[in-house]
Amino acid sequence: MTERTENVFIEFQGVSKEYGTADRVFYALKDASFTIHQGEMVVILGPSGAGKSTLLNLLGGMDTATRGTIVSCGEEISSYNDNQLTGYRARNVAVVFQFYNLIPTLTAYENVALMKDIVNDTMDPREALAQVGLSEHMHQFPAQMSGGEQQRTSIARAIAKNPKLLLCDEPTGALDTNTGREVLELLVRMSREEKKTVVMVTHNSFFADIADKVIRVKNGGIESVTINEHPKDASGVSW
Amino acid sequence: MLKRKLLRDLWQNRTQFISIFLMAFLGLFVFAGIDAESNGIGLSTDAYYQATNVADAWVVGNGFSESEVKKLVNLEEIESVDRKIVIQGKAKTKDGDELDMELNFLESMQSSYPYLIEGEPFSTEKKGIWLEQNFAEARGYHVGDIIRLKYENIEFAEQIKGIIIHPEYIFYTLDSDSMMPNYGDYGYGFLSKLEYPMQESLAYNRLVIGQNQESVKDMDSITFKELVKSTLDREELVVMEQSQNLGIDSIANEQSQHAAMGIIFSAVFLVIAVMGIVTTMNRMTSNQRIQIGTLKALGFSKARITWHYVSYGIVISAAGSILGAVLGKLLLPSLFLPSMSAYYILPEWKTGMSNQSYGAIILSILVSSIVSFLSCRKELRDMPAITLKPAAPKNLRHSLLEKSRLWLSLRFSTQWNIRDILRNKARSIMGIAGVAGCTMLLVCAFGCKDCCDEMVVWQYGQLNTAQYKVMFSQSTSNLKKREYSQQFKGQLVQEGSCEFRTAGRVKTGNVTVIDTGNYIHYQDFDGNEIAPPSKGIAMSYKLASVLGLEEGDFVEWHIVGEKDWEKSRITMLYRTPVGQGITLSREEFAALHYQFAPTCLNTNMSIPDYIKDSDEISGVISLEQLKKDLDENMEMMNIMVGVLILAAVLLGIIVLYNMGVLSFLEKTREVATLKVLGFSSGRIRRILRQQNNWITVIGIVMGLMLGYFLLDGIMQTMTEDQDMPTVIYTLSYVYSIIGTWVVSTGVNTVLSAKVKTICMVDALKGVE
Repeated sequence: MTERTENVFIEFQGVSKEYGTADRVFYALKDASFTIHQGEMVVILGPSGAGKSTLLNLLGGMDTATRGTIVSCGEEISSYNDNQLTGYRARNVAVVFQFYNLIPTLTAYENVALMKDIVNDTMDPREALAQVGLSEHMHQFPAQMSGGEQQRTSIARAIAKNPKLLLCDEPTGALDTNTGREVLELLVRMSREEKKTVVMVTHNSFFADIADKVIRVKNGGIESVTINEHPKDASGVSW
Repeated sequence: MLKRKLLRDLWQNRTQFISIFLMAFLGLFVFAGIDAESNGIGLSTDAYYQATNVADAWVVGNGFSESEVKKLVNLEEIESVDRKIVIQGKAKTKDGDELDMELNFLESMQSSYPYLIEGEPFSTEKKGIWLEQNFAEARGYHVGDIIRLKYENIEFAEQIKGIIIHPEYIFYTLDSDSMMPNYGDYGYGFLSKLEYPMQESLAYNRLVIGQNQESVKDMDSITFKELVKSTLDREELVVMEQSQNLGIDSIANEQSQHAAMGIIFSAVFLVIAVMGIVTTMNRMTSNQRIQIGTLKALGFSKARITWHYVSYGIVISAAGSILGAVLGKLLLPSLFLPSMSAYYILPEWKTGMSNQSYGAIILSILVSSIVSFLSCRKELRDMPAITLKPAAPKNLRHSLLEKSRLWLSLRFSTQWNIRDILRNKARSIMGIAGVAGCTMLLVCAFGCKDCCDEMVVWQYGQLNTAQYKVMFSQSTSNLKKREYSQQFKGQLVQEGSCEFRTAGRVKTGNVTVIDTGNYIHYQDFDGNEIAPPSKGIAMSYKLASVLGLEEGDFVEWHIVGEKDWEKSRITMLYRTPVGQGITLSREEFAALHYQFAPTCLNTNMSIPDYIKDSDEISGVISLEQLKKDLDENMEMMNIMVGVLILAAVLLGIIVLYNMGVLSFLEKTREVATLKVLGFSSGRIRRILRQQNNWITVIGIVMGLMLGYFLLDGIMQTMTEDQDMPTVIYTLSYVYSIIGTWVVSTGVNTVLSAKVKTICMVDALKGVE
């Protein structure tokens, strides 16, 4: 299996994230290096506490590394300060969370339209919601929707922003199998048809089948990076 | 979209936000309302003084000559001087009463014009009298009527040419013992000198002076007074500045008293409002921690998120403050107007907020914004990766109490409540502050009334015990006065005005010379009866403190109308609510070579009508009448007390309800857990009530003390001429405690009823 060298979209080089004091250091991530290409569907796989979320947070500019270089979307974000990171997130990144993280006091439509406050050329919220099949529930509040509907709203919010990088943190973690599969299909479609770079963090090894690339994490380090020559359709995955 | 979030969040947390709104509202309602009223007094008096060109100073003396007027006019500091004769006459009314009437006969008029209400303008060239409005209305006089007047033994009649009010008589009483005016029972009139009944002896006893404002700009009042006296070479003269006019001084003092009260009370509300914002915003931002993290993760900048949360404080405090100020300005002044206009005579009562009110609105909004800013900054400090996770539980430490043996012997409910209070300090402090504020205002309200009642008892029950005060006419001989004294077994007293001089200042006050008798009493600072002074002079505490004097010090003084200044040692200090000044015994007075000329007689024997009507008696004042007048004029106090009680109850309800809802929301999961474990709703309610009772007791104890200090502070703002002791009756404390307890228990009963409505299953489900 050979790694492409052109079109490198994301590059981690010797990245560490440390907590604690000088005499008692805890590594959430240790010396991680890998690359991701534009339009790839990447699954970061590992058990709880392995360092997957730390990876995702660093990738999304939601946290800063203690050591190492991170280049993403053509920007060296490991040297960024707080404000620059905010700009990076606003311009490039969209996140889909495990627990959806919708604003409870805004309707589905309003949660998506919120993106207009940050980015200029957003997709029409109606269109984004139509893409995830939620035209009917546009004016419902999160509390009035099922978990799957909430997660689809959260994806609509992400695609409305038209991001270069879509990060997903256990997007099906709180959903039943059927609803989870629908969400996965949406994410795969984003990668294959819209050519978005999608990075998904999960502890569910069945999802490895749908990825172009699988990065396995264990005890804060990168265990392996595998390329999947023939990724499956999301409809073929079951767990 | 964040605006919609703002509005919906406000709606969702409406209980808390309404309470903050109400606090800001009440704070500004009281502040702007009282400001509009007190500032309005300033606007009204300014307009009045300007319209009537009120004099800058007056010189009181006898027989002012034309050459003396010229000497003064030649001074660079003086622009105009008018001579007038002021006499204490009588009006024989249509009903046959003889009522006191101060008559002003003017030679010329360059300042202090009468303010015309009806009729033709006043002129020193015209015949007739211009009569004071209240007297005319009360006694049924109209323009064109004839009024019969009497001075000494001369009777004369005048046609009423106009109905007026005069800026030198904004407030005036018949004698210095009266605390409340009784307009209509006495009055004043303005006439030309041509109408003076004794044209052969035009003895001008008053000079009305208009200053050259440019030249006196940098001159202090003592220098000006000395200048006048030295120019005329008459040491016995009394020069009074505008601020020494009783009415002008009283209304100015009233204005500053109102303003001070406005500041004190609104400060209470604003402090509580700020605490409300602190607890509510802290709770809100910590509850929305994950939402804040999400917004950050989505790419919202810190500034945008901060502004969003600061807007909560701004929106609420702006709405409350602005609405409060507008309604306060519209409603509050009209509450004071009836009693103020019964007390002071002004042509028009204006209202208008000063810049202070606008400042208070801005301050209120600013403080709320800062508080909101500080509470959301905490959640914004960390990277979104941290903020997206629920906050780490508070690092709980065992308090000293929890480590002691005593702890184990406490019941579960007591342990639970102690922990809850200690771990939610801000909420507990706010609860205590709310209860304390409620008690404090109640104590203050009841205490205000106690102080007034106490003052009446003090003045008319302890210091002056005579049932009747017989006032002598000026022409009555001393021999005759002594005869009356023997006939009615009374105590003769000479009362007059006096001027005091120390290094720092000159002040006018009263001088009282007492003959032997048992009607006038003296008390030391603590209210213990002390013997009347026999040697040296006795000075009232308030005057001594204003002049910065103590017992044993020397003071220079001179009786108005007398030539010589005396320098005497203060041998005694006594306390009196009104009529600050000095007292001497008749013997001491004689030792200073003055002739004792009593002005009144105090007695307990009732005075037959034929004596009341005699020319030798100018009037008889009964204690009963004085007390009654005072009671009738207590409306202002009653309004104040009512406003305070209402404010206290509102404050208590708002704060306690807000705190209760907050603590209830925070405890929902715990309460649900207790329910699941098998605690009955009744038991849980008792636990919640226990905590409420503790907070109420602590708050009440603090409130009782704060109430006393607040009242004492208010009493200190009284004028230099009043000495109000801070007295709060035990019953008032009891009422305040009961009132607070009722409010607190009432609110708690409403709140604890919610325990029943907690659904165990819902409450124990996931946090999000």
